[in-house]
Amino acid sequence: MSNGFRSVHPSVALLYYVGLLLFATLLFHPLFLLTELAAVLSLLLLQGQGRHLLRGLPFYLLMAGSVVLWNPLFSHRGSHILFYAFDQPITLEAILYGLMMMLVLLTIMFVFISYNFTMTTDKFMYLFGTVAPKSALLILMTIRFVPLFQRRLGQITLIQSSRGISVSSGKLRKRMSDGMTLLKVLLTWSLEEALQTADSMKARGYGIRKRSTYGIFKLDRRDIITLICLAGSGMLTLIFSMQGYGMVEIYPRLKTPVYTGGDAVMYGSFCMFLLIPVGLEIKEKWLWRSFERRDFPSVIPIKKGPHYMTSRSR
Amino acid sequence: MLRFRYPLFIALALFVVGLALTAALQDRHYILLSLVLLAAALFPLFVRLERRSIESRELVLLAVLSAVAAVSRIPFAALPSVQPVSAIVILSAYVFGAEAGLIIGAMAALVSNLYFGQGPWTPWQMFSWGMVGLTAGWLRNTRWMRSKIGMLVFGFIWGFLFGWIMNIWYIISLPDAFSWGLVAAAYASSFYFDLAHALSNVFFLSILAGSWIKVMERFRKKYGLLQRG
Amino acid sequence: MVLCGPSGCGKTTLLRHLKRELKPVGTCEGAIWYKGQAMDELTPQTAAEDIGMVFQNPEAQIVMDTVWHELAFSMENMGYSPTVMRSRLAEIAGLFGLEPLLYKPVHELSGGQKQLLNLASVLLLRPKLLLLDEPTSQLDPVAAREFIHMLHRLNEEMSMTVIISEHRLEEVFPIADRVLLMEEGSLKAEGTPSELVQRIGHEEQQKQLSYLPTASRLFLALSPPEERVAQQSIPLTVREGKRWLHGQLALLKNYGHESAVENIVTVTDSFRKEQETLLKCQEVTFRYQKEGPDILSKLTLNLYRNEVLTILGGNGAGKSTLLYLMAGLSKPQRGRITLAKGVTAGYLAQNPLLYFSQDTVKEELLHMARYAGLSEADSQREIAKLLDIFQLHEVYDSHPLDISGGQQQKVALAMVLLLTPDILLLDEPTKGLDPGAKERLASLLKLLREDGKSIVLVTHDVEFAAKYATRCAMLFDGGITAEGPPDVFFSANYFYTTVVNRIVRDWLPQALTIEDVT
Repeated sequence: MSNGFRSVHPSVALLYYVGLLLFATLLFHPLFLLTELAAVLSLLLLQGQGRHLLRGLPFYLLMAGSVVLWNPLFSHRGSHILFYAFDQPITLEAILYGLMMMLVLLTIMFVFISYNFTMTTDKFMYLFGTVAPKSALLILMTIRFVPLFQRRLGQITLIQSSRGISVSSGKLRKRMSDGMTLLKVLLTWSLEEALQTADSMKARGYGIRKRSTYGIFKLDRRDIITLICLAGSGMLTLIFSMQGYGMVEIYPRLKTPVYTGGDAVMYGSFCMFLLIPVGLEIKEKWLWRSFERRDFPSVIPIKKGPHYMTSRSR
Repeated sequence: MLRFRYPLFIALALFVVGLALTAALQDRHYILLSLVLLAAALFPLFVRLERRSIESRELVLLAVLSAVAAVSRIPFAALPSVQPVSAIVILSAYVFGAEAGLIIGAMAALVSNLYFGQGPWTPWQMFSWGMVGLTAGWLRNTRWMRSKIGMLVFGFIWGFLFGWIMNIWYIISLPDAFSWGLVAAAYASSFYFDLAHALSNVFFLSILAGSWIKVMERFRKKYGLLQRG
Repeated sequence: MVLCGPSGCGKTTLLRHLKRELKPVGTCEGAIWYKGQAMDELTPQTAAEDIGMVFQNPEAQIVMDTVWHELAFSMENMGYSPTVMRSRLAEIAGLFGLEPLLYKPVHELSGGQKQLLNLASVLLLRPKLLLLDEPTSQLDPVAAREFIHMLHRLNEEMSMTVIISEHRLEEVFPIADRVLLMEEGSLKAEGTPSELVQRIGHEEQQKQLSYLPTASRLFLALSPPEERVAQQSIPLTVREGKRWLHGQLALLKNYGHESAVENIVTVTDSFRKEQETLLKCQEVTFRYQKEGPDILSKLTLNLYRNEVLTILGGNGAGKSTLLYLMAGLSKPQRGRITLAKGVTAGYLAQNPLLYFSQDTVKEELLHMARYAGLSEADSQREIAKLLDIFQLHEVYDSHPLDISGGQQQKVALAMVLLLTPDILLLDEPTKGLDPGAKERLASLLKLLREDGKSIVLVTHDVEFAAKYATRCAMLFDGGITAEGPPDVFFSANYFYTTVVNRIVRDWLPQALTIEDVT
């Protein structure tokens, strides 16, 4: 299920997401922020994460939107006083600052949605395992236990309900202590079985020597090119940003931003950085479209999945 | 590629640190700086873990406890704002020590977020729960933690402290609005959640401390490790 | 090489001594030599690489989250380079047919697949000696057979030395070169399979007899002692047993066994009508998720007073689900499950650990008695009675996790019985039990039945069902496809029947056990 940007080497993806977060926090400029937000959104939609995004949207909007409210209420810097609320001056600058902060927060959260989709656990672990193999091992073992424990907990809940221990009935006090009893059963059972896990680790030579890492990811030509492009355009943007380009000043008083050649170059390289993954996604979509056309030129569209399978087949 | 990884990562880390510092000083962008500080706080944990040789049993034990803490939210899904993770982290740290507590807390946050979704809150949760474990482990031999009431007070305080730490990442996104008023407003809005957290800590610790500690002590002997220092 | 013997006779301890990393703590005398080198003097690397070990519980041995990671784990431990790992992994995945599973998370695998994965993971280190500690005890018969076939292949094709301890001897006995019988920590008998059959047959010890494959037992039961001398003729498998019987047919006629064939009258199911129905499942349909497949569909089944009903069926056929529904632990989406008036059902899960939440057996039982609403005096009396029946007095004050698996099962059963159910629902009670323990369980069930309980048990164990059930039912594709008294039920089956039946069906179509034949 990995194609497009999802199929690139984890280090490329990591660079992109770190870059996105950096720029979201560093480039304090509405144009840059809006561009980044738009790029992340289109990447999300191309990756088919639209529904996922919609589900979390109310929460994100609430979280980010509240900033717009809080900032002018508590910050009174700026020279354009609009009106007074609760005897406090509400300034235009503070409202704008709040809006910008909202953009920053929204961008960060959207970046994380895309990150969760692209950087699957094994990719993250692959990168992490190279710097901190033991911690990575510990995390992986924990990850393996979680679904197992979920299933066990389900069984325990079912069985213990036959002796009256259940979180779904009774007073709050009883439900809470019953919930902990269920967890205690899980803990005891799992610790007992985990002794065998430890034995099996030892039997397979754990701790004899330094561990090596087996990776399923290979850095291919496309990855290297993408990496170079991302790093180049990212660095350029960063350098310009350190020079003071791509900034608007809100405090102490709002200034109309002036656009210079430097800003244009910076914006160009910034856009390049943002759109490389989007381009990869689009290219992939196009590839499959033409592939299907070429191989199946008939008018009848191919059905996805064998339609003769009934719901009963497992 | 393998050979260049370490220097690469170190260079990258240094770069981000520098960037964060300058950004924070110049433009008062504290989001980046706060992330760097959090990473710095959790860094020693991973370094220690990497350098020590760990017995397989110890590793398994830590993984089991972290996973139990991570899935512990499930049975309480029906009860809103009941948060069992802190209580479990405190009890594990009480039995297995500060370092184990720190690891279990941080792991539980990281792994449960793999299922609930990573976000900017992940490092903060790792930090907070890690600190819950660390402090519980440090204090476990004091007379205060040994007494039941002391432990309950400890759980109560951490209930609030946890919420407060989690508020920070939100507050620092508004550096100019920073005033006691904003802090008070943010803390007031989270007050009920924090109170529920604190009270559920107290409840869990008062009712179950005894039997949970017994179970864990039993396994500490059975695994024969992480002896009381 | 096959090790056999009752649970707790020291098989596991012996195997662990052969694997240096897992040597049990305690005093140890004597020495173990590997390739002329004392075990303690091996380098850690040889010790880990050359001797591989697979344990009983398929789930507990897995360390990593996905299949490829689990396979790589052992190689990563040894610090192999990525290229070596890649080629070895490719080789083993091909041999085991694991390619389609490679990127799956381990929790999506079935028990049999998990155990194969464990074996594959050990084999990646290319061991010369493979130790297996009851590797198939948690698997269903099909998966177990597949696993043992794999071992046989490794032994044949790679000439790998395999030491396996087993309760399920039907399959391993014929392929073994040497069989060791252990009892109470010492070697009781040793030899090639046929030698062992002969020796045990000679001594006529009932207890050890149950460790032999059925074909051999049938041979011992039918042939007069003087004939057992001819060593070559001892049958170990169904084919050999049938061939031997064929040769004996003339003899059989002379002995007058012919009449036995006619004596067996088909038991009609007329007895049902006189029986009171306790539990009725009417067109029950159940699924776990809205989108998921039907686990049970339009299933109809009745349970009558005082019977032992076994439900047989393949893996994932929904046997456990059916028991959940019967126990009222979950509700079917369609159809009805009705209990007769005043009748209650008690459910015993496969894993007794699910029941324990207190610190001692005593507290567990008292807690259950309180929940059952018994008064102080009543509960004391009931508990005392159950302790007598189950012989649990010595473990009364122990922690439920410190006692043996069999005792745990008994404690859990006692807890269920405190609720005084009329119907007992048992989920795979014979899993992982040695033949002796199975017989003890059977006598326990008999006792309960005499006490007026009806018992439903779900099992893979055809032999157990044939011997002790009063009625059998086959669950397939969500419904009951066949049911009837064991002799009728099994003689109608061709594959899914007891070994004895498969051997003698040409002559005695309804004989299921050795007792039926003799």
